[in-house]
Amino acid sequence: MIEQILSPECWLVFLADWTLFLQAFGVTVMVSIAALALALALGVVFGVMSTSHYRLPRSVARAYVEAIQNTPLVLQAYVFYLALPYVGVMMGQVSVGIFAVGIYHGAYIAEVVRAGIQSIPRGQAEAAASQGFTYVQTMRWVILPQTVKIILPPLVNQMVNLIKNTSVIALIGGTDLMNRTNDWATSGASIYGPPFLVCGVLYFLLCFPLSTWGRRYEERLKKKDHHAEQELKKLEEELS
Amino acid sequence: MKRLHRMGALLLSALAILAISTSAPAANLPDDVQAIVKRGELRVGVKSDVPGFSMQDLSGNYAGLEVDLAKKLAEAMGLKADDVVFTAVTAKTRGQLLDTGDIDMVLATFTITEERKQIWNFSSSYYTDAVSLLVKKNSGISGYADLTNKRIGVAEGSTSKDALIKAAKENGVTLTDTDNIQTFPDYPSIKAALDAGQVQAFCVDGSILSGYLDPSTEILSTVRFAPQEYGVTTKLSNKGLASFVEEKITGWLSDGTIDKIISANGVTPSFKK
Repeated sequence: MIEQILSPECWLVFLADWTLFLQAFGVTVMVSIAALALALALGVVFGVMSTSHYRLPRSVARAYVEAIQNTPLVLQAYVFYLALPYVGVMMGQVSVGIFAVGIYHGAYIAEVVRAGIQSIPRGQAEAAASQGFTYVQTMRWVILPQTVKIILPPLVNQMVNLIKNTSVIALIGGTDLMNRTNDWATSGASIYGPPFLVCGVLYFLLCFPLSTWGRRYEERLKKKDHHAEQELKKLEEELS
Repeated sequence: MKRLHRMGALLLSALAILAISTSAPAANLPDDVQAIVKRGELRVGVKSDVPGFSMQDLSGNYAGLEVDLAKKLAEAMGLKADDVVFTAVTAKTRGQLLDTGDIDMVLATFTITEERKQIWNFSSSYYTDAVSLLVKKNSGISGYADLTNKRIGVAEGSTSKDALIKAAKENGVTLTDTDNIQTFPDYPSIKAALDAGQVQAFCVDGSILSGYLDPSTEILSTVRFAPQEYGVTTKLSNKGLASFVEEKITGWLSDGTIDKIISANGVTPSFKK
């Protein structure tokens, strides 16, 4: 491994096929973005559902979260790829990646959103209701905006995990970055040092900015809060 | 008395010569082989899912042509057949496990290529096989021409992919890596994908395919290409071990031992040189 990483010849052979890796990276990015959108949408909807006053939406959300959280992602991907064709649903690996990973992380994000909503004092919802806000309006304008800074760290955590978990499609022959790296590294000249290193770097480049952005955004929100608190205090002092 | 003494000395020296000659193989073994003998176990990487070559049963035992060969090699070193410790490898892991020193040698349908010879030592080939395709009987695939809009499953790190693209090209059919080929981490997942209809053909060496043949599938007799030669593989730096293995394999090839092992395991080569 180390000898290969230090050998310029190995790098030359590897770089000659860079377009293959670029294309595979593109697949990973595409699956990540689409799965992320799906996971966020599912997460918010099911997260809100699990804080509902009604039993039905609560049980539906519970069933979804428990079924997904307590079975392995690889198994879920196999179900999409290998079992659904028997009931007439044929899905390519890219779609399997988007749906399996999106639904999987959707369940986790739903839990994150639920915890965020439940951390907002009940009085806020009651106050909004007393002002004539409907349930959806209360969520949209009062509760959810306040949850953002609470749920941001675990949410970004989930997003980064989601990107890394798209590599599950490597197991079902999806030509994503992980699959391409595995395949290329073990065929032909069997040069595995450079491709695995570059594969790791590419995943890092995808995840690191996201986690950094998440941390900065959280700090900014907290600063803004602090600022608002100070303003409020000043106002109160002036009034008294 | 003196004569008796002399005779005793003669007897002793004769005994000594005898002792030297019986222990000679061990003394003549290269250092890296001696290290294995000293350790008392030969570590061999084999496939766990290729019937006839190396298949692991439910109780964890391995059986097949490559398993038998590994045991014979152990015996040639002066170890017992039971001293072989088998590790299941795939096309993807076998080379790396050799390099890290986890295993001493690989007998795992490992195709000899010029490129690979730069990285590992290969013995002479103990088996020659051709690559073929496994398809569903009702798929309507009968030759290269039917493959253009199909997806073909191959194993990661196998030589079958490039060989198939090349053989198809020679037959006037263009297949591309991105459109027609899908790579899977192991053979059972390719078979599962074939059964589910996610891929329309399963491409690997014919002998391996025969293990996945069932009533709904067939091996295409019209598509046979790229004879693959399987060799015993050792780490490049273990030159002594490599020459020991080479000597044994060539010996067993010429005296018919290997032919016997092949027929005992019922894996008649699909390709004759």
